[in-house]
Amino acid sequence: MSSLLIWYFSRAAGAVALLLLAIATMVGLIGAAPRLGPERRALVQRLHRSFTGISIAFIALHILTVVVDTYVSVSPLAVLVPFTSAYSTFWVALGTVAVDLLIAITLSSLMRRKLKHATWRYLHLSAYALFPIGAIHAIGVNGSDPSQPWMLGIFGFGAVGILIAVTIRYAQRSKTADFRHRAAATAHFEDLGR
Amino acid sequence: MTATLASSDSVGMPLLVNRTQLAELATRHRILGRGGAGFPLARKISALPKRGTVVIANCCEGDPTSRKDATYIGNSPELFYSGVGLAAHALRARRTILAVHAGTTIETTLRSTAPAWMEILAVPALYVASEATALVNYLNTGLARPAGSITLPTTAGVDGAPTLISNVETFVHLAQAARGELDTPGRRQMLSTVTTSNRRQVIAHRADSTVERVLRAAAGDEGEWILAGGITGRWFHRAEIGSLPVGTLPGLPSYVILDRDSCPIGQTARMLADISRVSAGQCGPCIFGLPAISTDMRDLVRGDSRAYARLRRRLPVIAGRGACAHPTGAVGLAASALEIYDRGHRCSARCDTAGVASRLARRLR
Repeated sequence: MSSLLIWYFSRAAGAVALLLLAIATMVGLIGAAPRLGPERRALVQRLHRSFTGISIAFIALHILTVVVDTYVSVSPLAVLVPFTSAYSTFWVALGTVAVDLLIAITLSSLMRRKLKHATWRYLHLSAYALFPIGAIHAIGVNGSDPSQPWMLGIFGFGAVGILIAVTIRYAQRSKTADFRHRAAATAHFEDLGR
Repeated sequence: MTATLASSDSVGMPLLVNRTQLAELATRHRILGRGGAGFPLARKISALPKRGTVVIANCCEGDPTSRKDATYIGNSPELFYSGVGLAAHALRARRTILAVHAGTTIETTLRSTAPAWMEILAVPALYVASEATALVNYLNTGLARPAGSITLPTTAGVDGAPTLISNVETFVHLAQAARGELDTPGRRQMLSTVTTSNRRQVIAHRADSTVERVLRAAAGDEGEWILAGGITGRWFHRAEIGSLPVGTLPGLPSYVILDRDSCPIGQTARMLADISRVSAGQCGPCIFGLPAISTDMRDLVRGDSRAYARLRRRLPVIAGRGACAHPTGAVGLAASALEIYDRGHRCSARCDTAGVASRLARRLR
């Protein structure tokens, strides 16, 4: 396979990963909205895990191909340690930081039952940073992609979508301000079927 | 117990150090069991020794008309866990168990979020398996059936150890009380489930809200007959139950609004058949009594007027017997259907057993 093909593949995988990461963030936020029945919440949370999983797979592809690729020089070390890439040191470092953060968030969720709730929660809140860091990484690495309409589409979709999801997640709070707990602030519907 | 400490601490909760303080908290806030029986929590706690106990949070919610516990666990599991942790710590629990019906969404949530030191016990998803003595029996013998033992779990429960078993909402109230966030019984927040012909709705409201207000909060049917207290609850005319505060009513805070086209006696016949089907099948009242009254009720729907006399004769001899309250609950339901009959309601050819009862029955095993 020609080196350029791998380079194209890597950029494509990165773009898809960014899109999936945005969707995973949105779905995760909606899964935490107060007025969601237990059945739907479980479904949305499963979706959140699935989108995160697929996103991680694409990030792995993106990283693997960029390291294997010879068009630009990114060392295996640069995958985990920021500022060790020869190519585009700062902007690749942003990607590295996002990967490290994603690993920390994923591991903390896998071992959530062993952590204090607050620890898990604060780590998980840092997931807000993933899409912006990923997007800036995409803009910064010296490529022609960021100005392409489809790439702008991913940025716009992610930014607007996450903002809408944040609104859904927190908007219901004001309506139920007199309730002291989210548990008691619920009213939801669930279909019994035919 | 360090794990308990850490977990309770992580939600900013003051830790109670002993059983006496826990009982005082439950007494001061008048916390009652929220599984349906309304038994005072303080009395359960006071019956336990100072250490070596087992704490079980009953997360099964087997009644198909209720979704409050699933909602508490789905919405704020941490509040629930902190209540369980508080009790387990104060009672020096040697085991802390979250009992849940296998394969439900509640189980999924518990398995991904419950603190690691709490055991998750997946019990067969059967209606009778979640009765308190059935949980203990399942842990001790592997049989998920009510034990019918005259020994209370608080005296000798899991592995013979004194065992506290309470409902999800009870532990939530305990956690709120410890944080100073539990209102007086009348002003307390509670969750009720309102079932209409094709959906269940969980409504948050104050305990002193009237039934009518809760029913109105749930969009849907305008029927006049209300089944209150779960599938083994009682029928009420909307006018007679509407003005009562929800918090004062016994049983589960669950209301089924029967649509105008359905007949409460027909629905009762269907429900009795299902209540009979899901019994543990181990005592006379369930083996012989429930099929008999279920058949009688069906005959009454079909216009057999002698079935009324048979039911009037049979119901009193079934009530109060057996290893658990299952047959007694069925009798209560049947008796309230007969009261509707007494008011002059007669079944026509249109009265059938399809409808909301059959949709609920699908969820009953």
